[in-house]
Amino acid sequence: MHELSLCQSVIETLQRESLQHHYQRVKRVRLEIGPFATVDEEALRFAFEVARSETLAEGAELEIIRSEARARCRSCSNSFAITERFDPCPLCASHELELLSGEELRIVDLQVE
Amino acid sequence: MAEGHGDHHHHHHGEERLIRLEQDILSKNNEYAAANRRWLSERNILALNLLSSPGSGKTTLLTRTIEALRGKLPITVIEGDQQTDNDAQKIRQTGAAVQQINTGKGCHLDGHMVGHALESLQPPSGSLLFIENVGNLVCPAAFDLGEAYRVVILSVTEGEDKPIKYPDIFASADLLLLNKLDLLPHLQFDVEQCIDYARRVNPRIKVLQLSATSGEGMDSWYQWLSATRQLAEIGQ
Repeated sequence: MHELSLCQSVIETLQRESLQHHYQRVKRVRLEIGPFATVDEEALRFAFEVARSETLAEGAELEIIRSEARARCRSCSNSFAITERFDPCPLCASHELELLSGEELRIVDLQVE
Repeated sequence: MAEGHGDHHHHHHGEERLIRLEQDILSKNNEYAAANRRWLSERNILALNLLSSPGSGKTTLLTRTIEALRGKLPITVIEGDQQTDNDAQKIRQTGAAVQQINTGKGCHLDGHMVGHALESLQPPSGSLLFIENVGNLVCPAAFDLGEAYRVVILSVTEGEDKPIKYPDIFASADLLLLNKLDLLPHLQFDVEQCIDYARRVNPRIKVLQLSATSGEGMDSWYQWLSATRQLAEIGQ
């Protein structure tokens, strides 16, 4: 359940940014989570409810954008979408892949007032 | 509160707006980890982050390693556990300096905790630092501690498909230690299949087969440690 520490870190960021961007409340947070970000979405939603209480994000909505994982094959240079880390290259079956995306764990934007 | 008090952005309170942040959630942890990495490299200390499930034989591996390298290489240990300092005590009996981190309900170590542990432990320059992470193959994967290398320990009493069940941790590791090799005759564990799974997830991963109990294969681990330390020194 490291999702709780991730959410606490999101809340800390919201508090820090509130000083710079001058807002009192956060209404919605959008996160981008890659399929290989080691995050369970259900656990993250539950942890967010715990972490947001009695903070400036109390009651804030959590929106999660699931990004796509893409890889490039080192053998044949083909670039393609993958669903598992152990997927082979669909063209040449090699496992020598370079991950191009899929580990994102990012706060995209906030709706504030 | 007055509306727009001293706020040069002139936002009225109660007015909704969108702020683009595009900020990595782990950025704070990564800052702590980067500070640790700098601190360690200034002192020429080689830090290894040891990851595994509970019961993989990590502590036995550590105590045996410390005893084998005694007098050759100074070793200190940061020991992460949810509760108790049983493992830390076992390691302390070898004479190595140990700093215990009890994470309580926390399922992983993070860069901040390790930074504090480094301050208390004060590992000597030129030493080898083992950071024994909380026994867990999921959560520790996301948290950089400032280590030079990640070492995953998997024992043959576990399933050979662990590398594809917990791909994130194997994908981020530099070295896989396949431990408890002495038990292999009593088990149905397919070593080749396990290594093949690990390579599918991480083609660069180096694999050593050993038994911390019988000592089989331990020399190749000590050689890896000493070669890696020499490499780190040249890299300075």
